[in-house]
Amino acid sequence: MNWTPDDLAKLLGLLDVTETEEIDCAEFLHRIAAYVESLGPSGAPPEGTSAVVQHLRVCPECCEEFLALREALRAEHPQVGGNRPTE
Amino acid sequence: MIAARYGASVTERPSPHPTDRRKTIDGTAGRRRTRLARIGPRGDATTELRRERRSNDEWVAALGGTGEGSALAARDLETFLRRIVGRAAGDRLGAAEEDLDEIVQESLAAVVASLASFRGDSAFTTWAAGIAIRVAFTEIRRRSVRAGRMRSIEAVEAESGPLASASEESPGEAVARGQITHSLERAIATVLTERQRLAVLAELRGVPTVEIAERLRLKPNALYKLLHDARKKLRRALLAEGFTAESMHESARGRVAR
Repeated sequence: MNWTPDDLAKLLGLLDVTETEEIDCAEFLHRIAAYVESLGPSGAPPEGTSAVVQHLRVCPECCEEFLALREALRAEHPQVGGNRPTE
Repeated sequence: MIAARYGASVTERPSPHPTDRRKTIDGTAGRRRTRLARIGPRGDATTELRRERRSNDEWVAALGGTGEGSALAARDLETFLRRIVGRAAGDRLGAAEEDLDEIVQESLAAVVASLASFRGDSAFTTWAAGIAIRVAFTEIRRRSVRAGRMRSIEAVEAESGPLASASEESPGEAVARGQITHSLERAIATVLTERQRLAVLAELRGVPTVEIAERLRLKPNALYKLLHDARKKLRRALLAEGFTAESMHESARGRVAR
């Protein structure tokens, strides 16, 4: 197993946002519904959601699922907050 | 296994909060009911009325019970989840209707199996949608590996790539960046276990975590802990070598802190 510069750059990015205490993917799933519902029109993270936001930074799979959830709910309920991924 | 990814937390993290139909998104029970009605599936007038009257507690009780009410709730939720999964993942699941059926049924089963862990801090349907999307995307990632569209962990093990200097950096930046990169490489070799090295590299190269967990015979939450512990060890190792949080931050963004 050789580590390429790209691997190391990505890993440095992850180390930059690593916290001593983090929530895991299962706990993220427990919290994501309330997080999506509480997003304002600007998409600014509500208070008390820093652990969810941090998990989104370190877990690309949960981030992908969050974006999909937000878009699917927005189709049901247009006032679901946050910028669209392309915005 | 899909349900296991979700269910792993169900047994380990029982909800400390009972579901509360009055705990609302915006602080009012009336608005919660309105929101549930809006988010819920759109159907005929009878369906709408039935759904509008269903609070979070009522969803949980109906889905956890038996009889006609349970069957109606399951059908309503299935209709809703079909729309959610179709919108979120339909194009990636392919055109086969049976694929969508399978995912929706798995999602419904995962929701029902996880009812006890619902905390009531969101609309029930929003929570269920999150579970359905996890079920769908986990399956999509599995299929992508099988179809060769995503890397497998075996491929990562077999891959090799020579280290090369990052391009478009000034010599000074390259030297400074090289120092932290060199230290990171040394830390990878010295502070991580073989399992941690494999898991971290596989994750970096886009192998689905469900595949990594299966290969390492770990439950998903145990894999997350392994990866998190690895990141913490590497971060500590860099700090011990004199790098600061700022220098890591700058290096991670392609800038070099002096």
